[in-house]
Amino acid sequence: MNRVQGTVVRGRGSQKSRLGGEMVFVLIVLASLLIAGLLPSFLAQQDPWRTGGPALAAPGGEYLLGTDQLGRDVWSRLVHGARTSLLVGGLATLIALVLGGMVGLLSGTLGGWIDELLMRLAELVDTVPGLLLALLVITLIGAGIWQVALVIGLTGWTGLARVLRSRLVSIREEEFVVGARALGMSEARVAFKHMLPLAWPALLALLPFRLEGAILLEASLSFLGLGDVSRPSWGGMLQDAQPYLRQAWWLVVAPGTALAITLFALSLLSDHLQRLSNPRLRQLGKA
Amino acid sequence: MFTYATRRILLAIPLLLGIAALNFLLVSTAPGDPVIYLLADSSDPGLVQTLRQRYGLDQPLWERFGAYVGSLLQGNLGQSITQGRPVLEAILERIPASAILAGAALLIAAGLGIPLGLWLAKLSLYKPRLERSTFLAVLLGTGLPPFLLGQLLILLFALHLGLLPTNGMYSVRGTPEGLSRFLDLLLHLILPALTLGLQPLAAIARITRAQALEVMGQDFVTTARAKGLSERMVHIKHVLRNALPAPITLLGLSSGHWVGGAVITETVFAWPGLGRLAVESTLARDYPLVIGVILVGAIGVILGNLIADIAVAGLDPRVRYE
Repeated sequence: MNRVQGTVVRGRGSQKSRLGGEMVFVLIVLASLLIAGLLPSFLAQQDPWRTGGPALAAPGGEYLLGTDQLGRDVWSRLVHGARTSLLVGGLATLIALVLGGMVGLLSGTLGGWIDELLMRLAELVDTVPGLLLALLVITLIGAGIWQVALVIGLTGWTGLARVLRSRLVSIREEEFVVGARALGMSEARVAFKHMLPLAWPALLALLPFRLEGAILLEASLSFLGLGDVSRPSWGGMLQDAQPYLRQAWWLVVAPGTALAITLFALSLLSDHLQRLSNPRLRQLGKA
Repeated sequence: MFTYATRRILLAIPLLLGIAALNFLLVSTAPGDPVIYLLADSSDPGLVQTLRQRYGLDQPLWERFGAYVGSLLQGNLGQSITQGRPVLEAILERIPASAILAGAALLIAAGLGIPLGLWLAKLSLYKPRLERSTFLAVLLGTGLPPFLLGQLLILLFALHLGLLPTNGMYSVRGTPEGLSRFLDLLLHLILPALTLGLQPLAAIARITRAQALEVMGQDFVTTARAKGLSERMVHIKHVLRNALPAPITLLGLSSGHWVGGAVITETVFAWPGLGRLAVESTLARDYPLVIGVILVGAIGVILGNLIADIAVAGLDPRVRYE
């Protein structure tokens, strides 16, 4: 037992500095994504749709990351694809946050049959595999960028609702809440003034995780040819690359690396936030 | 144990009904009238009326839902538009391929993920620096989407090294029998199973590690050591057994991700399973088939959760009496 604790304590200092390094990496990735998403033409001068170049040109030379089967600049498509990922991912996360926040708030503060009903609903949504539900809804309403974001948001709110609810349920029994109620505060005022400020950090800590899931689902849908085809997207690029795997490895490696680094950075961030928001793990110094 | 299992199974029934209702509502409230769609340009009101009556579309929503559930209970999932045969038949035909793929992936994920997690837990106590880098690799593995991983594996093992086939379940040329057919299947299975299994492998390793670390700090582990058990026995009999419910629960909870992963993996490798069917039917706008596949997918998720819960109850007596 002593040996176990000793090692953990000794490990903490170096772990801290290493975490700092990891967070710098995360910041760099997210900042470049943001620049690519907001100012794509700043990073890539070529039009992502221009088909003038030679088809399947290897990386290097005039085309930094080569060209695809139609002679389009891969680097440009990559940069513009970041915008699609961010836009759909961000919107979907926002939708999930609003929905999950409302459901969690209602469930966690009101309790009773409303809580029961909403939680059964969440269970229902969780039982239908997200990708399949997205397939169905997209068949029904079409595959524009807004529709895709909506679908991803609709499948992703349950986790957020659960976390907010469980935080609220445990806060509900705290003495200061009971006290506030005893002073004659209305339920709504107690919820917003005293309970929510304590509960929402747990919700925020989940957001990078949600964003990661949303970006992944967008890429999956685009890969299946069910995303918005009027915008370059990493998943769509990977789908286009499939027939040319033998001739042009860069068509897979470029969007693949971008996607993998993005998802990796988000999961590092979410791992870190989880650790911070979970006092028990923070004390142990490990997740 | 038996009562626990029965209760869990009974609880799944309303869930299934709910899913059927969700599907039904989504499809019937979607914009667009199927009758107009069927008739294309002709909009003769008499004909529209006749067709509405024939398909029962003139009935109120709840009556149509009743009829839908009624036919579901009789095993009738409707008729596929593009294949011109019952949905159930089209689905049943694809189940074996999906089951083989999922089983192989599960074997990889659990068979390697749990030992890896235990090993990581030990490492983090004795060599935290090495452990952190291994953990980062695991984190990277969790984030690697199957369509990307699949393509990278094809690039490396099939195209560059030429060791394994790029797609399909059996070789196109010749239909070998017996053992050689089995070996052929095995060769085709390696890459898709790795593609589907790697992400869960990483996730399992991660949770097993976290759980094992928690268990290792507890008094009964110290006691086990104090009474002279070898490290190996301590890890297998005391740490593993108490850490195991976490990865099993995770597996159950992630059944939905497995279905999604299978959809992607089967598309990348042209594997003739349910996932491929889901994509094909979506692209062809074959609603009855899409809904049928979703229903089967949801049943899969419910079963996955059920099996995991029962397994955990079997391992941990405290769960049974809750």
